[in-house]
Amino acid sequence: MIKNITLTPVTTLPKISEPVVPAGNQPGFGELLARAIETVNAEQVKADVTIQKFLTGEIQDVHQVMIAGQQARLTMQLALEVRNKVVEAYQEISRIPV
Amino acid sequence: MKMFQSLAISGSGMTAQRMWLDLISNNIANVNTTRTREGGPYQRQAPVFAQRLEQVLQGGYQGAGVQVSRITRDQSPPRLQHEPEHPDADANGFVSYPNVELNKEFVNMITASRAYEANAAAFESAKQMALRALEIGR
Repeated sequence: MIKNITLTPVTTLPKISEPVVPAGNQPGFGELLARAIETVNAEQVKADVTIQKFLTGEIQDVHQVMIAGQQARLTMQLALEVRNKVVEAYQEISRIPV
Repeated sequence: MKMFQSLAISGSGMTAQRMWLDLISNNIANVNTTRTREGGPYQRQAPVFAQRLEQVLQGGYQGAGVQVSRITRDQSPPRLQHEPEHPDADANGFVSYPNVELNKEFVNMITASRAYEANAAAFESAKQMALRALEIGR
């Protein structure tokens, strides 16, 4: 037997306020992109350094080299996917007839 | 990056297992060694694996792989063999040989190499997960 079903009254949702963007404070798209590319580059450099260390005998584990390589590959893939999306969006906008 | 956490964990496991295999190889290589730096016969070496901690969570902690915290020596008595002509023989003509047992070492070797493979498989599946996540965007 079901007793005491209380229904909560539907309250009106708070009005979506306009996002306040302080001009000049937020990092621009260019800056974000530059930062992302910096990360990808850092991974690539790390992989290179690891291979060098392996060849000079500083690192003795083959798997460390392979792991660094795979990490570089994965970050690169992520960057590529993001780039594809950006280019796609740009093309979509450029196709708008004016 | 958090995305690479599982890759690093698998990597630490592989490093630990490889180190264990190093010790096993050393034990096998020194199966007849009667002279060491400390004097006396070689003693079998074994690793002690310790968990690496990353951060404490609510009521627990998150691990961050494994590491070999120290290397122990097997203190069990040496294998005595009657060889009076051996230069390291004692007064009764017995030579103390290392307490390494080849069958034990071989079993450990299979364990270490299988554990290495398991870590490699975990690594592979973490990589596949990341690649699958990237495919969502396509």
